[in-house]
Amino acid sequence: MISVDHTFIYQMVAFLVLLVILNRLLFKPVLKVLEERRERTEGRFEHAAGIEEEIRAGSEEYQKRLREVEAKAQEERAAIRQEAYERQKDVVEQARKEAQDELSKIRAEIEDSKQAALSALKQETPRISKSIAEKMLERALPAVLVVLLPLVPLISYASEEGGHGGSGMTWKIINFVLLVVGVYIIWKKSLKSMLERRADEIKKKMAEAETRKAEAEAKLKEYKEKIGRLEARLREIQEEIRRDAELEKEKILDEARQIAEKLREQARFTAAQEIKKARLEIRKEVADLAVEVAQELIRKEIRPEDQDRIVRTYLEKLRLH
Amino acid sequence: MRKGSIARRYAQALIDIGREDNAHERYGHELRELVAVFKGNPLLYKILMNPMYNLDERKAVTDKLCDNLGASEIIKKFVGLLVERRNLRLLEEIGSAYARLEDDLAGRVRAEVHAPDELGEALLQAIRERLKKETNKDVVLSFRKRPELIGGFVVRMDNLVLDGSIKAQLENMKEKLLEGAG
Repeated sequence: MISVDHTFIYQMVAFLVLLVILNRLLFKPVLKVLEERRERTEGRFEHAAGIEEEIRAGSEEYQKRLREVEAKAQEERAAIRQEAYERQKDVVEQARKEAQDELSKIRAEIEDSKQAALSALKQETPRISKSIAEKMLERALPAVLVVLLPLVPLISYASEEGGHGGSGMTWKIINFVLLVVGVYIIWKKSLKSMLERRADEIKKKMAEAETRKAEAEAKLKEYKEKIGRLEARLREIQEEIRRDAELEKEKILDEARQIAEKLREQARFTAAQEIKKARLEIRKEVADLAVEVAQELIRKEIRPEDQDRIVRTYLEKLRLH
Repeated sequence: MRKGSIARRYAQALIDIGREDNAHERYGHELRELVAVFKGNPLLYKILMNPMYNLDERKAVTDKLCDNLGASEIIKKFVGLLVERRNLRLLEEIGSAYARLEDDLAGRVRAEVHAPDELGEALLQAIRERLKKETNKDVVLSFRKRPELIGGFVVRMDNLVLDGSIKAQLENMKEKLLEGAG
């Protein structure tokens, strides 16, 4: 029968001493390791998130630049005439499609590597925690409760031996010392080495995560380079559009020059015709006037012998057949 | 068929009958008299071409006219035929065509001489001689004064025009002046 007597005070003291010792030797290092692990795990997560953010920002920047390039191309297109416009549009459309395709490809790659890194960390974290718990307690429990479990046999034993006198007290002290020594030995031999091993494992995993992080960063770098190349490609395309447009413009201008030359030629021809016409008119006027004056002169001057001669001369030349 | 050619066929038919009867000169004379009457009385055409009057009545009018002129039966029938065929309007042309056929039969040609002033018999004779030489026909000349010709002369013979006028020469001169102006 369990009853409350003075041994309860000894038990409480023993428990508090054990708690202090355990706190020093066990709780603090374990919590320290746990904290360290948390920090490292969380740190990796944060870093991965950072990469994600960077990529997102990069994508936005890329989109922004793409829009800028597009806007510029639009301005040029508006400036150049319709034929140039159509072709320019096609090329820009193609360029945009190419850029989009490449961007999508890059995004997919980035997403893949990001997911790989994250899932590696996520997979590893619970497994490590679980294996620590299992190796310590041989049953699944939240990690923070594990350290309290060695107290359970002590409390139950103290309760059973509660009815005995001073020899019981001695036993209890021996029991306590043995417990402390036992716990210490267990700590030294098993738990500590295990925790250290686990810490090593975690460190190894952290290193792995570091590698994965480096890989992610390498991916990011690659992505940035690709963006850089894409921008160069866009500029190239823009240049190409501009050159083509200029050529087209030149062609159009050539045509215009040809038309202008034709018009000038036509004008010259028309002018020549009009000059010819005017010349003819002048000549006609002169001829008319000359003939008119001659007519009046003849009318005044003609004498019968002139008429006689004219008639006879004509008769001489006259032929009917 | 053109009016001229219809008129010529009528004239040809009439002169053929006249030659058979050995009376083509007489018919020609009677025809010209009739033409003169119609020329002097344009109303006659209107009456004779008007279908309001029946054909016998109109024929009676031409018969009466021919009787008054003392025309031969052939001419009377001929005019009646023209009324019946509604070809009376061609009478004057038939007259001209008949005259030409008469001239052909007689080895004659009629020529009209135009000059700004009278040419005098010597020149007319020279023209007549020259045309006779060219046509191998007797030439019957008529004269028409045309001051606008200024000098020289023009001969019209059937459809032929021979222009030896100063006016024509001046026109040629003008053409030559304009040539090469382009």
